[in-house]
Amino acid sequence: MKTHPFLKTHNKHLAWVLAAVNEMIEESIYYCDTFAHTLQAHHNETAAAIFSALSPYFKSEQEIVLAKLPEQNLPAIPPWEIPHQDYEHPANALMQAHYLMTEHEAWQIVTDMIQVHHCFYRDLIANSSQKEVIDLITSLQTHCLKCEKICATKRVPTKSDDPQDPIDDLDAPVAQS
Amino acid sequence: MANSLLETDQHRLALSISGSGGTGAVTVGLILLDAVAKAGFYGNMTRAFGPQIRGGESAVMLHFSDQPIETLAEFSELHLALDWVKFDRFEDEIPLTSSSLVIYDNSREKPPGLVKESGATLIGLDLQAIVKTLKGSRLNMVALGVVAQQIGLASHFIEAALQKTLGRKGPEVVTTSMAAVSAGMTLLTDTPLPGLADWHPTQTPRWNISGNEACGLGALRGGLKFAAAYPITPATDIVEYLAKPLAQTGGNLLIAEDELAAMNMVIGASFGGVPSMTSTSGPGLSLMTEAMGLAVAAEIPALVVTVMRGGPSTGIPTKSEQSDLNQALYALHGDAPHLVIAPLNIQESATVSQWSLRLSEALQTLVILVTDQHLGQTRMIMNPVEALDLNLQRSQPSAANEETSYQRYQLTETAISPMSIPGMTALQYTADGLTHSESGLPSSRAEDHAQQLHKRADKLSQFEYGDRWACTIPTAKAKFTIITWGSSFEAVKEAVETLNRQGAAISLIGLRLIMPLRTETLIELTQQQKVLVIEQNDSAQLYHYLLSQKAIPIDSDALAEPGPLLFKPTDLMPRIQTWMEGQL
Amino acid sequence: MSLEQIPVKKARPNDYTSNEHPVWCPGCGHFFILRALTKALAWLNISKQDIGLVSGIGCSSRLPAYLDVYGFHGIHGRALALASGLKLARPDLTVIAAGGDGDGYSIGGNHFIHACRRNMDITYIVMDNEVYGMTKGQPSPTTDPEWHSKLAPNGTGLSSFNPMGIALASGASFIARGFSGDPNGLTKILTEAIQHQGFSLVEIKSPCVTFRPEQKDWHKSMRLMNVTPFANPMEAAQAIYGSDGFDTGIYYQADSPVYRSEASSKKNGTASEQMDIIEKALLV
Repeated sequence: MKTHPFLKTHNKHLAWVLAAVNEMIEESIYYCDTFAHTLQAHHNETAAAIFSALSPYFKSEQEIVLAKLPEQNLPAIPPWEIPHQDYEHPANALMQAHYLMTEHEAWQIVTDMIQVHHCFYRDLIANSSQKEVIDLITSLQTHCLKCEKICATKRVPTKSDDPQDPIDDLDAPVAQS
Repeated sequence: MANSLLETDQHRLALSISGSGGTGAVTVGLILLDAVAKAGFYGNMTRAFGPQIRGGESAVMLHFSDQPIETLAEFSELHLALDWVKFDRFEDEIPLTSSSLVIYDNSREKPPGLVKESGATLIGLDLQAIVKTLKGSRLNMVALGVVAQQIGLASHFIEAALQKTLGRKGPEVVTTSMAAVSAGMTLLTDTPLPGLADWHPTQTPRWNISGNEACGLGALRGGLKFAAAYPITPATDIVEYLAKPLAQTGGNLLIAEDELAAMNMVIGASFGGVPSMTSTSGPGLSLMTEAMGLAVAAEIPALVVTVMRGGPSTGIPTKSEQSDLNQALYALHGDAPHLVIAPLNIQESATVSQWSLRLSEALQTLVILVTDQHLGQTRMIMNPVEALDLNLQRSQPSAANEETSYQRYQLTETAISPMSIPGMTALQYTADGLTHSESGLPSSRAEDHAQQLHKRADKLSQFEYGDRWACTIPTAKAKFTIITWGSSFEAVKEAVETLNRQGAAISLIGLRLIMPLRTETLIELTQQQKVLVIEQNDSAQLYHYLLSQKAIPIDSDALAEPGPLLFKPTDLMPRIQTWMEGQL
Repeated sequence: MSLEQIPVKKARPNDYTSNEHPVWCPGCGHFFILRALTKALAWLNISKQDIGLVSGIGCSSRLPAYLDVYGFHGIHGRALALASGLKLARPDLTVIAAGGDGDGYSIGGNHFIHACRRNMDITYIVMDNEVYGMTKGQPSPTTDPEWHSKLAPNGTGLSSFNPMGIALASGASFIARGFSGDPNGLTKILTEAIQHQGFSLVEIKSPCVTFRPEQKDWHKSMRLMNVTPFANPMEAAQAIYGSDGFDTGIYYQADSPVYRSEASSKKNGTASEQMDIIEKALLV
């Protein structure tokens, strides 16, 4: 591996923070879009719509980051060094998905994804003394709170909204090869 | 003599040598073949073995002539037995008659009953006594001298051949061997054989090559850069031959863990952009079949050479049969159009394999080149064959353009789509065995399925193959046409030519391009004819295929016989005559 | 440090994705392997046109279609053979083979052994969910003996296959286990595997949410990146056989002889000059 001297510092400067945050948001956008598509392919329009709905919010969150520095100028952080110590990767929430997931479960997963962002921001702010970093994170946190509020308003849990197990599938998966 | 029935103006001589393992019968054959070649003549050598890997009995059959020769003689004029161990195994391959001369080492076993019953002239010589007088000499070299004397082959040709075969073992070995040969030449000075004395030697350069080697050479001339194979008799010689030249010419050879792997390796290499092939025989071809379908579906150029042997199952792995035609035609699942091509003799093996490899490249498809044990393992002295000048290239896309995305399986006028190769910028695609659309993306839509199936069939059926599809020998006013293929061709051709000289009028068609069949041309050639299809298998596979395509008249007949004994012109002639009489 | 001095990263993971969206079951572990692979390729900045990605048949073998590289979706079990041909013919390419546990360890078992033995510079990604997913839930070689299925109502009773042990015994020079729910660790392993000179097995535990829903809990049992790579096969064997299957990381990495194309090294003169020599050798 090539060495990147700027990574050796514990003093997380703005560029590093921008890059790390951008990596995380990009993951969330990617998975929202990808899961929206596969849920649609599995004819679960309801859950697909929820993932589709969230994607633009993540994209506007990314715009806040890229407004500070365009993507091509962000430093390269080895993808395994994005600090996940304090939060779970969105992958862990997404592994709870299944193709018959209910509206309730879908909202739970996207809310968990927003929580991932929240946790990361809290950690960054706790470990930073630089004003520019704190300012950036604060605006990202504000954005996240907005997203959470929207989720909370749109999410209308009903009694029938209980998780289903795929074993109860009346139209089980079709063998393909 | 041996070929008296054929009334040919060629000089010919048929001889055979047998012995148990370690006696060196094969070495004597190889040296004789090379020495006769150096003397300015032509010839061929076939082999027969017992089931043992080493130490078993073996025999070689040699045919010499002053012209290129690929047919087998009616009987062996001179047989040399280094010993008589298990000679009965070779009864079929070495036919002896009252016209045969048999020379043997009488210090060992007595000639078996079947040799005595043949009525052949038997001469026992104490070869062992000579060996004892010459330090370091071997019995087979003394015997070589006896044979050379009998056929009138001058000793300096033997010496030159020995130099080539044994030279690397040091000058003493050559000297000792020559001493034994010279001693052998004095043992039996009289001979009933006409020998080589009256023959006119040629000064033209000639090749000493086996059919399997010729097949490999043709592929190299076609630009072969990759081969993968799993050993199987009688096809292994092809890749053994290729190993060195491939390395010399910047190619690679991969020893596969099995035939399933070999075929997939070929597909991988060809996907990477290099002309690729594998070689196998019936059982191995069975294992390759699934992947061959992938080459067809994903439109990856691939050459598969199958050297037929007696089947089914392990069958007779060391001997010849033309019984895997159905396999080459029909083994693939789904509608999988591909090419099936067969050379008609050893002399054209190099050009036909070069053509086959280039066709696979130009048509981006699977080509199965079908030969057999006889065509593959017979060693020939023949005139060198020029490489073909073929303009058959793999079509490649022009540089990527931003407006239209690359369509790997684009429908075109020729039904051949430009194929990008890894490394080409912005022309990435995923090759797929799944039914796909023009873009290459998997699709299970009926329209895409039909469109791509038709495309793959059309690119083969619309292609202009030229005259090479068959060897047609028309005869004026012929009412009879004989169709044959592969290793049966030379025997049938000689039988037909002889019968025609005797007043018959028979046309001959030797098929090279068997699939896709040139059906319309065949109909034109045979519609007013009585047709006989001759092939070496029990179920008349070519005959039934031609009938199924309505390429020959419905009242056509078949002369089909299983291997492993090849047709001989002298056997075929009376049978063709009987067939013609039955048509009147 | 001023922002201008910061090195610029050329490729991004999204550059490597095709226009085709994955249709694996929502929640399937394979999504995260796909993502980790694009991240590894982006980090290594490998040109898309210089990557050959070969697969067999199965859910995981759909992978090539989702990447914008030179892909080959071949036949069941034969990805490694096809990849070996490609790598030998085109040593300049980064060749990756991918598939599932059934494809690689059952129908493709012989190719797996011999690909390890050849130790060509190929990265083999096995997306192991211990089940045949595409044919609807039959036990595979890595399925535990007690798992009940329609095909084996009382379980198979057969102890499961140890792919990493087989790889070590067969001569692979890089052996690692990853977990699809650990994007960081998995990306790290894949990056190292691609960089490694020789045959790299990356065995990835990848839950099948549809037929093995209990695997959703794997993340609770995993011990991520807690393995130290050994260069000594004896020590590596101890680590491989000592693990209950829930430890991830690189178990073995050795500098073993790599089977390579010798095409360029043996060449003297042009190919046509060589052909002349080859043809002259046939003359009597």
